[in-house]
Amino acid sequence: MKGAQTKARPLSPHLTIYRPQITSVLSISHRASGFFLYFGLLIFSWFLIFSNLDATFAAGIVDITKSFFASIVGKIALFFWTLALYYHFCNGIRHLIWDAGYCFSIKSVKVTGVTVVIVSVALTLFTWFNGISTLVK
Amino acid sequence: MKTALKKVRGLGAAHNGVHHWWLQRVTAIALIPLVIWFTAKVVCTVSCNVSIDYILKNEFSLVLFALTLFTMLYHSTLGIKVIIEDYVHCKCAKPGLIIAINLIAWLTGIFLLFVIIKNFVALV
Repeated sequence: MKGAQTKARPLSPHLTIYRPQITSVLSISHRASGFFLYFGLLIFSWFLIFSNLDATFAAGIVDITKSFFASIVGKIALFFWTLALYYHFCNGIRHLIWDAGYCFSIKSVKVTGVTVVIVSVALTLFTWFNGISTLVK
Repeated sequence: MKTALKKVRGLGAAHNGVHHWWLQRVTAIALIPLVIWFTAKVVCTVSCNVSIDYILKNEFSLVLFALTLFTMLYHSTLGIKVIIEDYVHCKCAKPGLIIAINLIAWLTGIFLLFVIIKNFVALV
């Protein structure tokens, strides 16, 4: 009986029936951006490793990386890595504030959430207008 | 005082208490100044008209760069572990993936260590 009851029962939380809210969207975005950044860190690390430690690959790796980031796909990827880094950074500070026991009211959760989005987008645009775009030219 | 409750309170279901949770926060705090330094350095590369190689060509920058990379690697491996634990329910894939991310972290970390050593030796 237990088997029949537990089989194929819906799992909570029922994500599909919820209307997306700023709290839930920012929460999953924190995970998604962290996941995305993990691969960015690995790619960056292995670029450093091959270009520094392997003489046979060094020149080729640098050329491939340069042409990738000069392409439109590379630029879009780097743009989203910048955004993910700033978002995860700002929202991470928001999480640390919660860990310290502050800003738990619905109002402050919403206000800090909107602030995080505005600040991370602003920092991304600032970065792109002030450097990275010329760096990858 | 070694009651069952104390054992659960002390260590919990994962058998290492709040160790993982705590280190995730400690590395997060460490990354605040490090990420500010790193992004400022990259943005400054163009506006200050210096090469990005400057990070690897200066002892002080190289040490901060190493700290940034290793803290990021540790913080992100902890984070990916939580994601795997939450979303992968297969009894084979879950431990397999967790072992894999730990091996990737060690492999990447050791290689990065030699990148740092090589660049440091070249400076002194």
